[in-house]
Amino acid sequence: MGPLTLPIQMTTNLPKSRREFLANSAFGIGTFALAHLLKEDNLLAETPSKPGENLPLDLRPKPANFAPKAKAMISLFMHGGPSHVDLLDPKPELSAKSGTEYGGDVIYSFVNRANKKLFGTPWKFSKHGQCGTDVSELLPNIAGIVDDICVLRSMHTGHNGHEVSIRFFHGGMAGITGRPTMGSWIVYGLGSESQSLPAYMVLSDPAGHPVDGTHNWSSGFMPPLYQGTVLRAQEPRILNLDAPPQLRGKLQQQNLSFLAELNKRHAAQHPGEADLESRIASYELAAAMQTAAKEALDVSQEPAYIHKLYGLDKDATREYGTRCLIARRLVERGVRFVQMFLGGQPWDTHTDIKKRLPEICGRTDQPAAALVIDLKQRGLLDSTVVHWGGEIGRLPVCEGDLNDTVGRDHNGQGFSIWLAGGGIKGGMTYGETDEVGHKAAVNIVTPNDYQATIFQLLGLDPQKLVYHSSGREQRLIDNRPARVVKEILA
Amino acid sequence: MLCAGVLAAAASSLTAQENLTFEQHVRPILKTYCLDCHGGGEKLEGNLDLRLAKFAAKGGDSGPALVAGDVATSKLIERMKSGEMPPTEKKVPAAKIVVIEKWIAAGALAGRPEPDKLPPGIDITPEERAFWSFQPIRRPEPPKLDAGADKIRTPIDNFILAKLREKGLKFSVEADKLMLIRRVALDLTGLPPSEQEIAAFLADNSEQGYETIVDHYLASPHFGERWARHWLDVAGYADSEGNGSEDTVRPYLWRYRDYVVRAFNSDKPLNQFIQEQLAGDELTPRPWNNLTPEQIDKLAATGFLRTAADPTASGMPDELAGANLVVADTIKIVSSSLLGLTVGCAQCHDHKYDPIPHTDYFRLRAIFEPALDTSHWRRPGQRLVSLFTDADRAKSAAIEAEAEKLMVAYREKETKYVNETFEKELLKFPEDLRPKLKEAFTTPADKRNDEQKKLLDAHPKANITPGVLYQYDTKLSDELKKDLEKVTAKRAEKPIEESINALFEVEGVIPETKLFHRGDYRQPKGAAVQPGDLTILAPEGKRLEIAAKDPMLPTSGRRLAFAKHLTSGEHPLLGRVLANRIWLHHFGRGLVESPGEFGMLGSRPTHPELLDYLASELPHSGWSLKKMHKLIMLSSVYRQSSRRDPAVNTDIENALYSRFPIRRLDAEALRDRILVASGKLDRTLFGKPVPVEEDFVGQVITKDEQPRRSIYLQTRRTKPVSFLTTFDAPVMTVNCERRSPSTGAQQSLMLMNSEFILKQAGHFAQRVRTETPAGFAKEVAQPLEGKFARHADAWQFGYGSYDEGANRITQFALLPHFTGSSWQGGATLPDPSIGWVIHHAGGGHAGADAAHMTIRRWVAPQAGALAISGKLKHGSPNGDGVRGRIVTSRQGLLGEWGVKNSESASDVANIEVQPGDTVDFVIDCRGDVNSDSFEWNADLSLRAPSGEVVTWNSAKDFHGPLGISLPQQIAYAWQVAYERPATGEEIELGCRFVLAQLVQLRASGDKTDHELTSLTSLCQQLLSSNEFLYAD
Repeated sequence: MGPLTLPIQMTTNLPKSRREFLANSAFGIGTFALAHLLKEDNLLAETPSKPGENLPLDLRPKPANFAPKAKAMISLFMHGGPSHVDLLDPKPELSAKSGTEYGGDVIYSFVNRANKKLFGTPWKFSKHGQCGTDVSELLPNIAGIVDDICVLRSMHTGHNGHEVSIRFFHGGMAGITGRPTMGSWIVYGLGSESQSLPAYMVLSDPAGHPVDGTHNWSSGFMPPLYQGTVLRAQEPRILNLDAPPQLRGKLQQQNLSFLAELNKRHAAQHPGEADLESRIASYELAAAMQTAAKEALDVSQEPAYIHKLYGLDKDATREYGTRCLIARRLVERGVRFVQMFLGGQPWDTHTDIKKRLPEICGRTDQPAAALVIDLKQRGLLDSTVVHWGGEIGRLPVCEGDLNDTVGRDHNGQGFSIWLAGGGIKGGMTYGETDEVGHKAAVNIVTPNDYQATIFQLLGLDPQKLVYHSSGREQRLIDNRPARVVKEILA
Repeated sequence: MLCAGVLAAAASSLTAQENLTFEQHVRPILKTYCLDCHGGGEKLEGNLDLRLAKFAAKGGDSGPALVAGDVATSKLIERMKSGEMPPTEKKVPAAKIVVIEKWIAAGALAGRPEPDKLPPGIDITPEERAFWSFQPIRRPEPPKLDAGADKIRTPIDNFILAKLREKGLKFSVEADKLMLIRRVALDLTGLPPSEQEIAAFLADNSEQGYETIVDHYLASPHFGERWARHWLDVAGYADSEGNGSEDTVRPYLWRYRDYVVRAFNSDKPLNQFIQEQLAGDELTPRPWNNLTPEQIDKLAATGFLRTAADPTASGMPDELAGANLVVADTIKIVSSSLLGLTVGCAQCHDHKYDPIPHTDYFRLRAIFEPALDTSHWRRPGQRLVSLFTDADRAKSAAIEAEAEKLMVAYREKETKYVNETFEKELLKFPEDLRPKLKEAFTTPADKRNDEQKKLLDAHPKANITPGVLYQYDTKLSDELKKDLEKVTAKRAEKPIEESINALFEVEGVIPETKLFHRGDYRQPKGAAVQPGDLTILAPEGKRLEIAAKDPMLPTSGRRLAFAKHLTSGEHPLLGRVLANRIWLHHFGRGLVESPGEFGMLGSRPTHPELLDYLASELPHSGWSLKKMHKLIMLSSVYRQSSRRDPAVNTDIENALYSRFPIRRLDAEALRDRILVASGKLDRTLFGKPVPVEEDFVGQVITKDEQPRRSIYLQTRRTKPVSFLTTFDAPVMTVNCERRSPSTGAQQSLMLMNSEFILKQAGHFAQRVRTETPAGFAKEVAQPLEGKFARHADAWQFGYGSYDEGANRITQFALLPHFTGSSWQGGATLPDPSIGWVIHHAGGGHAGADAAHMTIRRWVAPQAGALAISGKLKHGSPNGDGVRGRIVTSRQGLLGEWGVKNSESASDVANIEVQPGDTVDFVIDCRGDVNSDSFEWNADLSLRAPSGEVVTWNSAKDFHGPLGISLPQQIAYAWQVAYERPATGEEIELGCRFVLAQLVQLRASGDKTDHELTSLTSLCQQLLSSNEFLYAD
């Protein structure tokens, strides 16, 4: 889709090229930065690393292993385990048998409230879009974008615990900490399109850290350069971005040019030391980041209809909608990987599911759908993968008694997520759980398969993207069986 | 180096002429991809065994796997090429298949006669045994060289120089003395050299001068802190348990940290250091009561084996899983730090690359399992050794007895006071009610009958309890409160029970170690595995077998036996691994670049003979770490300049050590150096970690900004100190074998804007202001003083005379005395020689004669057009008033105004000034000396040729003594930050910066002390600059 067909007005806040940006940024473009940029462009043609060595430990753009479909990814991580049988995976058989004893084996996490009675969904599913994908009435907006998304209904971690499955999704191995997250791997492999914004950004929730805290964006054995930069839910959104108010503007400019002069003199004493040069550049980039980040986070520049699209006009959706909008603005400006988290785990509906599930859906449904719609209308959906999903799903049986306080316990054996954009085929579902939605049964997809598929879209080969640590060749999927789910690629 | 690089399978370089053998070229490939199912495992898939060429030719269910000389019909190749085999995702790379093809084509030969049968499992081949790091350490002779122009000082120089010369290179020139002392101080102590140390070294021109400073810093108590930090990285030291988001604080592991610092400071022999860390408990006779400091040290040493994260700290549903994780992490720490091998792969199966069979992993595990017994798991809280002595206990009991006495007295008094108060209160009730009330009150609360209860409920005022006594009589209740405080204070005198986080076995409990099927702790199998070192680390048939139980010890003694074996001086890996680590920290690069991996997947040594020489030197010199440092640091290699001369030096990457590397300080050294510059560093040694917390924006900082050295900051796994992690300090998951220094915008932002740097820069500036010695750097600074006057510097307060004929000032002298609000001739007026001359902010007093005119002088700091707008005022009807003149050094008299009990404008426009021109505001008394106080307020506005306008106001700019000049202060800041004198050019640069900031601050109407603010900015930039961040 060309920009002329966009139903929105092109405004000055649309993405600028890096080069253009630096040239216009508050401090102008330093000679070094220019040289650096030129080098950066050449770099794409160079071999990134020798065998047995790591890629250069910086954020300059690096060539993909093969031609990518997607340039960036936004992941809406749904901590706690969204109840697939109530949202994305209709199970008439479960509804029919609701209230009867389940015949299969169930692993319960909360044995004290274990109940083998099947619990059919209290909500209605209906077909949507041209594709006719069934979606629950709890997700009316996501139902509206089914033609653009692919619902994977056969996810399987094999573990019912939260942390163990979260780490599987992020780090490639169930339960293991100390490994880089997928975002770290992607940024390590591809660098960043923007040198004035952090390459890997985490949008945290005002309610606090998600379960498993900072492990969610850890760079593990890679340098901290590759860990997620947390965009805080309140100001200051990025730590240390600004000088204290009394030292901003001209004073800081003077500081930086004085510092640049000191460093120039020092570098002249040590000709050819690349590290000294790149540190000089890092100050120019930091200065550029001050302007760029502020501009990127300023959603007030968006027109009213965009605010409305994301639900910024309503209390229930304002907060999550603002973050979804920021996420779009970030990828638009070259950020490689954005991940949004929820404080605690609102999808972890052990009790009162009839009350709590509509609440969390009401908070996230419209903004999530708006993100896909907005990316699409800007022509960005083709190059941006959007992921929506939790680490587990929920059991088809009751937790507690089948009354108004009923809930559902953890289920890592089968659950649903959805993907859109960046080379994903829209308007389809993939895989199946068994007749009651307990276990993934057809075309099972593991977190490693999911990672391999995301890598495929981004032009990365999980075998080739290697980081050397502890004398070992480390890989995201750690040489475990992983399959690119080719069936869902456009 | 027989098979170095086999794995990297230089297939591309293979030519048909090469003698490809099964053992050397093919088996390593098969081992990685096939042997798991075809010979190495319990089941033999398809009855095909590929462990010998002979077996492969024989084949399995599908017939022969290969036909010698006939690639086309060899099924092995076919299956590999089609991707059918191996059935997992990981396929055999094409280049490796080519090797096998060539080998088959050349006849599929074995390198030596093959046996007809093999025992189960994957054996270790002679080729694998020949791998470099498994060879015994020999002591190579340093290459003999003709020194020529190069200075050969230690054998290290011979080894390095020999390689340099091969490439036609030589050593770089020796670093200058300032560079050397900074290098040595930062390297050995992590702190910059002091002024006195520098002065002493610069003054010492003897041959031994350099050696003296190396000895000096080796003897510094900060040496241990610096080198302990390196070791704590590998040991995986952390002050928290890493049990999820709870991340319980480990209250006592700091004693292990202190043990390491102390061990390095006292140059504890490294063999002893390692033995104590692995088995300090077995070196300490039980029972552990009334421990001596030496015994405490040995037990604290075992903290090395308690560093791993322990998820069982706060309990967990599957404790066995958590316990097994602790064992696995501990083995990882031990093997990567002491063996330089990743053995973890062998936890599930035979190691795919190194000759480490699955059972070997469990032999290692059996060494540690008696203490880390998963079948009788003890959580961290159950692994403490109390430091309470009998004396402590006795003292504690005695204090408790005293406290109890006080308590009894307190209770008695309390009852007494309550009763007395009741009696008083009772009088307020009607007389007939009193007996019943008293009866109810005196009956204990639980014995009162219903009637009594009702009665008291009906008259709550009579129901006096100790808790409400204060409402009746404050005096009595206060007295009781004080008594109770005394009891609490008494109890607080008890000695506090401290403990050690230690590893030790429970006497008499030795669990069996079993192999885990596929590494799954839920599937132990087979017979008990006996403890021992890895098979490959001893000649065939001579591997270390450790007795299941040492009869001389109450515990198994396995760790002690292992430790002694490791430090026997014969172990092939330990010496190399340690020597390499020491080298790594001196040069930023290891002789082996993978310090935790000396196996197949690791790097090969760049200077293998040198590595062996250093490794052999350890036992040779009594395992002295300090001697090893000295050996390295006295070498010419170490003393080279870090500046590369591009004309002669082609060793761009410095791969051959043709110069000293320039390196960024690591996180701790950087933070510490900043604290040294700010003058705040607290050099206290040892002790409990400084707690950390999140500040209001979410940065993790030290509580109350405690400026202790970074090694003493608490290392919470979930709350790593933001400044340190930004500069690549590890966040401990297991351990950190090597830091990867990175450069990024986050670091720049940290140095530009973080509260930490801004505060320290502020302290630094304050220090510069108060500490710059009078006369500091006079030679370079003085010539610049006129040129770089501060804004306030433009004004001078003096007296002198005016020549009416020449229209010029002929004499000007500064007033010597400042009262706090005015300048004058002396403390009392009139001053015997200067008389009544006074300057205060708004005006002053005229002098008594023509030689003592009151002159306020303004000196132009820059060129421009000056405009003055002023008001001169005399406010007394007495006397004859005063006369004011404005006189410049360039134009002479510009205006003259007389006032008497009146005021007059004193405006002058468009005066051209050049830097250094003076504009004098001159007051004289006219004839009469009575009542000559005046007010003169002038605004000056200077328009520079650039159009920029700077303004002054005579009242607002009034100031007392300005003290040390700006150029001197800047010179001092330079000296403090960089430990070297500033050049004139640098001082000029600094002055220009500060003056520009002052202009900007004035223009913005900033309310702070402008000079301090701009000096702070200068200091901040010095602290953020590369010269400060990097050691050269």
